[in-house]
Amino acid sequence: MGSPLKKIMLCSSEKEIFSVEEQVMVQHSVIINNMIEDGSYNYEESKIPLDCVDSKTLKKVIDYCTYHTHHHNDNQEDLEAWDAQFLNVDSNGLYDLLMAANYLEIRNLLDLIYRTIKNMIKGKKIDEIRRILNIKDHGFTPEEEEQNRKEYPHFY
Amino acid sequence: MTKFQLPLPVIPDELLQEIFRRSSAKTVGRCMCLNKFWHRRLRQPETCIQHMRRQKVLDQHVLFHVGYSLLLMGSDSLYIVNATFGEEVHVQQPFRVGIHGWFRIVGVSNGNICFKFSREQDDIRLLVWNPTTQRSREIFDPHRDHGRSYFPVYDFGHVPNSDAYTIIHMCKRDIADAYVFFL
Repeated sequence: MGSPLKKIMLCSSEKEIFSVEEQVMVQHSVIINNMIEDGSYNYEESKIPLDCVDSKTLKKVIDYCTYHTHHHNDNQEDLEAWDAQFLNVDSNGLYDLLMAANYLEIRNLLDLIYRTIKNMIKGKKIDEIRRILNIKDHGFTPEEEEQNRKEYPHFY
Repeated sequence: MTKFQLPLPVIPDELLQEIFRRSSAKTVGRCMCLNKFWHRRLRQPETCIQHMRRQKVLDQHVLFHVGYSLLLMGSDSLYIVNATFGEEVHVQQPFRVGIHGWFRIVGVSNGNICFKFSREQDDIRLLVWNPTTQRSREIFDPHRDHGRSYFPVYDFGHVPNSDAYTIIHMCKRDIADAYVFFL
């Protein structure tokens, strides 16, 4: 567990530097926690390069981690309301956050995004799920489609 | 909740799998028909098992049978009805008990159904089946022979906060046993 005063540097794909409380990132990101714990981070000069996270997304991720570090005692409803507001982004923004959370292994943020996408496909028909998830080619021959319809009539 | 512009960018398969793991059995069933890749992947027993483990919430489904009394005869039908929407689905039994066999429902938990069935006399078996994924597994019953001389009672349920399912087996003469198995 890092000291609350210490800061670490994160570097986005645009080479923009973000200075964050160490505790905030250590608590949320498994890979940053590992990096600090194994001593590979040098407080004087290290900058953690996050080549596949752009500045806009990294800023969002830091906002998320900071809020959840300082408000983890808030009641569930307030946190959920904050999360809903936080995910008020467009679909590319959602995708970028998903990839960043996966890269940094931020479990509660990943879970939040998984749940959001889960709710998008919930109760939808197969064709609609294909459209939402951008699955263009299903690869089934007409006979196989027919076979699926026969085998799982309750899914269609 | 924001309305996202659709479709979403293409999400890597490993992450989609995590989303499916969090989805209801019905959604997973539909995703099985999305394309050839998911058809293959979601039908794998490991995927089904992982999914069953994760789903700790009871699906709002009622299972009933059409037939006589406690023992269901081989010719009887099983229906699953969604309690919220009233959708009714006729399901094929996972075993063929034939004209001399019978089966009965031991219990239902997390969308899994436990059956006791017999294809012929004295050959009584236990089977746990998930009607959505169509996967089943036979459970060894160490007390199956007691059935002839005692009056056995069975029940089936999920153990909270674990991956275990339990079959409880009781007999009249102080023989009571519970055995736990992991899906």
